[in-house]
Amino acid sequence: MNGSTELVHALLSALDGVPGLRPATLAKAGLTSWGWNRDALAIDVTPGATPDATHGGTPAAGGGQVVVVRVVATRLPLPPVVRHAEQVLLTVLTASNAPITRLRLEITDIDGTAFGEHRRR
Amino acid sequence: MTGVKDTIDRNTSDPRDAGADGVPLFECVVSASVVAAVAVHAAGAVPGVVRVEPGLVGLVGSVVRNARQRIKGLDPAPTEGARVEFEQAAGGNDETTVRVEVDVVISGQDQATAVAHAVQRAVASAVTEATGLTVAEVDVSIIDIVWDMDRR
Repeated sequence: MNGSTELVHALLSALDGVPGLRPATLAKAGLTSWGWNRDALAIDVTPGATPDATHGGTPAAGGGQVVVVRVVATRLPLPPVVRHAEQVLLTVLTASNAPITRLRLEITDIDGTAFGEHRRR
Repeated sequence: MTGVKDTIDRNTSDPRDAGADGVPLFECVVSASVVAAVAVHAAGAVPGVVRVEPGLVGLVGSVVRNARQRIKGLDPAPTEGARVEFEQAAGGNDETTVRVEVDVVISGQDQATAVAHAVQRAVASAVTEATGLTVAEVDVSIIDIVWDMDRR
């Protein structure tokens, strides 16, 4: 297990504590029989630039690494959920001492149940 | 991720500052499908709106999208009938605004312009509240009017 894998697992654990967001992976998430966490597919740790830098994204400064976390929203409104996620994920990244210069949270989809909760607010 | 995305929150607008104080730059992007789902939900709840009209292309796309959402373990949220575009706000700042187009079928019992204005207000309000994005424009197209509600 390298540093990047440990970082991904730490981020997934932190994300687990954020109500309203879950990793954007397959329905049958979690550990496989051989111990691989499918949720790890939702997180990329890449050097240099965000994946869509060639399409208008912003390159990472100083040649550091970029962490992209893809999530599905299960609760509305998003701003407080995003602030919570920012707080916990940045805490993990800061504690890791990894050369991360940018954290990008991508809300790729929304679960229909989010509207049920939103209506009841 | 495909589709247009938009930054809704960042701790600094200058990427050159990233990591300068040891804290990574944070940005959050929301996909167009999330905004469209919010818009469709809001428009469909407006009194006088019979349904948000997906159109033929939307219907075909919804089959694929629903299957994809089931695979991802999601309760599907309809997005068909709303189109979303992100635009850079005028004035040179970093703010990005969102433009939404919604196609609706309304009841013949209500005044069309009044219903359309209500849809505009509902969509703009819902998108801003739910996502934090600034809505620049909501275009409402009344595709059809249903006179006999029993036959819809």
